[in-house]
Amino acid sequence: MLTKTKRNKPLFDKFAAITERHEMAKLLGRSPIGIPFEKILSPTRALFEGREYVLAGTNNYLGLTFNENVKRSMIEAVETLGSATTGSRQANGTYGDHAKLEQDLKAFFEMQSAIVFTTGYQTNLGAISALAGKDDHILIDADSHACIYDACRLTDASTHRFRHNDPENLNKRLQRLPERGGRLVVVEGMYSMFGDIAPLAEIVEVAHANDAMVFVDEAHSVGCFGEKGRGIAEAQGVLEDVDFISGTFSKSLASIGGFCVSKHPEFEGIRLASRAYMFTASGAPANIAAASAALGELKNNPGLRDSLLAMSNRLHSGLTDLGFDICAPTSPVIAVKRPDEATAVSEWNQLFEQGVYVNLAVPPATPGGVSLLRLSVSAAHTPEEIDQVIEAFSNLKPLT
Amino acid sequence: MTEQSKIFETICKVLSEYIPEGTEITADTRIVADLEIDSVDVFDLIMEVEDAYDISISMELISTTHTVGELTNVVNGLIGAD
Repeated sequence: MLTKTKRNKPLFDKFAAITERHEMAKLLGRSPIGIPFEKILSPTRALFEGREYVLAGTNNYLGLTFNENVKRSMIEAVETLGSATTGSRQANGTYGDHAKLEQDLKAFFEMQSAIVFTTGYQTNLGAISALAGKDDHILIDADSHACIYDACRLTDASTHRFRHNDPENLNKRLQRLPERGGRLVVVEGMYSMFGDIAPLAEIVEVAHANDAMVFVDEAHSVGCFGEKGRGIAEAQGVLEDVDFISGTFSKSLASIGGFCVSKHPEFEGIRLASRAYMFTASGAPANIAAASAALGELKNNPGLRDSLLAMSNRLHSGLTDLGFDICAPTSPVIAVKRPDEATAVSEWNQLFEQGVYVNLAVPPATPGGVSLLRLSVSAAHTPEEIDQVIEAFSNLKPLT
Repeated sequence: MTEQSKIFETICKVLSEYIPEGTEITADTRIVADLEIDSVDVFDLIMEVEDAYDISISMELISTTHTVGELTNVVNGLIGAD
């Protein structure tokens, strides 16, 4: 007779291979996963085991996590509205601040509808899975984020991939679709792994020529691109043409949560249909307040984008001059390609030993199966901090 | 040669870019488990098959297609449907 322990074992067997892989990586030094920083000193510096590190992998693009207005708004929200809403948007979880933030986002993007979700991941899950249903077709860029793939799995629509950043390939796939059903093309503005930018203008043209709507995830591009910081759609002159834009509060907006805006007022209908909107607690008052305050900073301080661009250029050219292969032209995400996973893990450790924290990205999380040292730049980085990162890279030694 | 056989040969030709030379492939060969092609490469090779036949294979259909024979049947069905 099987004991209880043996009966439950098969559930964990699926983790054996990745666990072993992680253990192998730890033989090369510290695990790069989940470093528990003891204290965050600023958007760009932290303490770990008593030592100070430069943070070059945080997605804190505008460096607003320590902004006085942002912090003060959060404190006031806790004092006046409490620690949490404890309810969904459909029930008791819509406060005045949630509604006001939606109005502010609608005005910022000049759209007809804006819906705030509890996280950025849930935004895409909730919006995409509600928009596309049976008989509909979703076409996603091959390099799409996990939340986009997961959103597609939640629908009854057919999902098709097209080659990354390839409008011609998208056109081919759109033309293969049957006449019946709606069509939704989903792309990102700036791709999170490589930092490369979508040819959005061409994608919109192809999509609309084939009766498809366009959904752009600007999670990594809001705040960073466009004259007013509204992302790649604005930067490429197609803000009025895209049908849906999603974004997150957890990067440029220094909080946690997400939003989707649309030029179609009918988008409001998903408040009654989106499971990830209806069946989860709404964003805590402090998080909503932080996002609102950060949005204000984004609108009123275009200099933040100038600083971000300047530091991104400095880091990109510094690493390029050292001979490193970077996946894309200058952007706030700088992905340094490494020859293999072991080299990337070794070099991640060497950088950490020099007081520099970056992200390690390895397959299958990376497009094309490459191993990366992924860096993200902040408007709060100083030239000295950027130079410290470059120097750390110059000291990297080959794996022996 | 039947249409089915031609499709099987074309798929084998696409697969050859992802596996060691001389690897034997039959209809029962499992694409991921036997040929050790990872999930990233599976999507790429499916795209090559799609382009070869000007068809579209949904991700839902891909998730239930495990062997070379099953992929051959999927392609045959989509061509026939056109």
